[in-house]
Amino acid sequence: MALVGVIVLAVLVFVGIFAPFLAPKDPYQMEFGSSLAPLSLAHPMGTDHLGRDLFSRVIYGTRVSLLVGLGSVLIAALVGGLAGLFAGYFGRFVDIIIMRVLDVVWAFPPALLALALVAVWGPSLTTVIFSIGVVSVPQYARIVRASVLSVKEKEYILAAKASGIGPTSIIFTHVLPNVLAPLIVVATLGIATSIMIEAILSFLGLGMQPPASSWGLMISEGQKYLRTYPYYSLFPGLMIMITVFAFNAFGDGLRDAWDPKLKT
Amino acid sequence: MTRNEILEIIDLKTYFFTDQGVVRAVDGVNLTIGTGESVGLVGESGSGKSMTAFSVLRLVPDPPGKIISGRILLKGEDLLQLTEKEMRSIRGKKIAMIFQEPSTSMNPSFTIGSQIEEAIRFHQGGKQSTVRDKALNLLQSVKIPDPARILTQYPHELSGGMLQRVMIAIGLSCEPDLLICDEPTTALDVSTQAQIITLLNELRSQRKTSFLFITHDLGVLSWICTFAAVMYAGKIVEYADIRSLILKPRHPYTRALIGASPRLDCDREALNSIPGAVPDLVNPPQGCRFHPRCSSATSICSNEIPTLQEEERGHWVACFARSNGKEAENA
Repeated sequence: MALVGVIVLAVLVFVGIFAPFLAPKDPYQMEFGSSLAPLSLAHPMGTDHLGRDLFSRVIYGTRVSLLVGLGSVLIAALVGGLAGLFAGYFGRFVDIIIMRVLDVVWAFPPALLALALVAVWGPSLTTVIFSIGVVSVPQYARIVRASVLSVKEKEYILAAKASGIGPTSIIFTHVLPNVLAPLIVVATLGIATSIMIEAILSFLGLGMQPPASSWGLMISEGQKYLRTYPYYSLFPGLMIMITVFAFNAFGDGLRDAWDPKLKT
Repeated sequence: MTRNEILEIIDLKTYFFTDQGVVRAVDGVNLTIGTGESVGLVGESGSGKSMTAFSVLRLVPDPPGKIISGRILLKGEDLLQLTEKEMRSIRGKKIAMIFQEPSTSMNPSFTIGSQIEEAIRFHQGGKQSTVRDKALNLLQSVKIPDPARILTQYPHELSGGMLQRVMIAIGLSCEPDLLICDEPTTALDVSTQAQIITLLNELRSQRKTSFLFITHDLGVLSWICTFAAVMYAGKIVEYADIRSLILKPRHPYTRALIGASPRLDCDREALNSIPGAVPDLVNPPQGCRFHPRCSSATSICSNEIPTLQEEERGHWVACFARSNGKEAENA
């Protein structure tokens, strides 16, 4: 299963990188005569309301979705993970300060906060990635902190202290590897959430700006035609589903590989 | 007690500040360990023996624990005056510790090899190849079969006895002056216990490492220790060389402990248990802390705290009723 995930992800990354060579048509080329055309060899996924080839737009959308998904989760997992590690390991006032600050972020609905941040910074790919990253930080911090709290009471941490190892190397060599598993699982699910938030932002006009293509934007645009022309939203939706599945399978595989207890 | 001292604990007090009050876990302990000696620390659960060991390494969980007063001299240097950074270079290098439960004392995410190598590299450094050779030699010295294969294995793939050998190897990796063993055989089955103890004895005579050996098993104690201290409710109540302690126990608590351990060499219908329970250390009993459970307690025991007196050469007892003890011995 993990292998399937890896293969699908590899294909998606390949498609994202080589989009200009793979797309049969220019994704921005409008053909008003053939808007919302039925599926055909010329338009395998149909066309949108402006007559643009949906297959080409889906291919280009892979770039945006992967960038937003990976980028924001990377930021969130890095910042949140570090915050959780230090809060959990040192406890006391370090814990209180870090977690209360993150609680403030956590108190807002993530999509709403991301929306506000994008509104402040101005919509672009970078600001979308950053704002989705920022709103997901508390989630990672909480998960990591909770695992650190249980790991730091383990006897091997005491044994490490008793052999004279300092707090920084205990955190990174002894605590971190043992809290990675839950972090990875949450991160893979987080990629899906990020892609969805990106879609919400794009729908509200604060994500990707037309004529750029992103799966979320396409689903949103296709909503208007859902009854008469379902392909518009269907294919980007399927792509999101496949991508999310692939990330989950991949995450499971990583977790199994890193958990020595499951090795035979 | 004039001998070549490695470790000297002087009037150590480690208290825990809890919501219920101050727990006097270690209350005025004096203990000396000489070069190449193995000193045992016996007592029931909660008598403060582990906390004495953690105090020596300054690893008392803080909060709520705190070392209130006393001195811990390692070759004359007071460990309690060192900074945390200086203390880190003591831990593992000068004083190492092995723990009760070998299976949880190893990080499950790394191989045995990388964990031994980490210990060597941390205090000694060196090239990867020399570090690996050293790890191999260490595993050989603790008599692990096929050490090259063990180095690549994960902790869960080894048995408890094997893991404890690995822990001993890690403990000895920097040739410490003192090895603290906190019930290292308690989690093992009896035949493995015997192997580990034999191994520890061999290593001690080869390397001249001193041991502070914590146990509640008098059998293990008599196998491995040269001297032993009996702890009760945070205080040492009796201290002697192991022979005299086992054969001529003076303190009623020591006698009760020996009476409560099973023996194969004599017929006895039932084991004697000690009535009552370990006292609440927030409000310890007045006077001698053992007197509510002591069969030879007199009125003075409930009013005054007995101090350690040298009853015989090298045999120290903290008990008012020790003259009674002599009579009981003769009877």
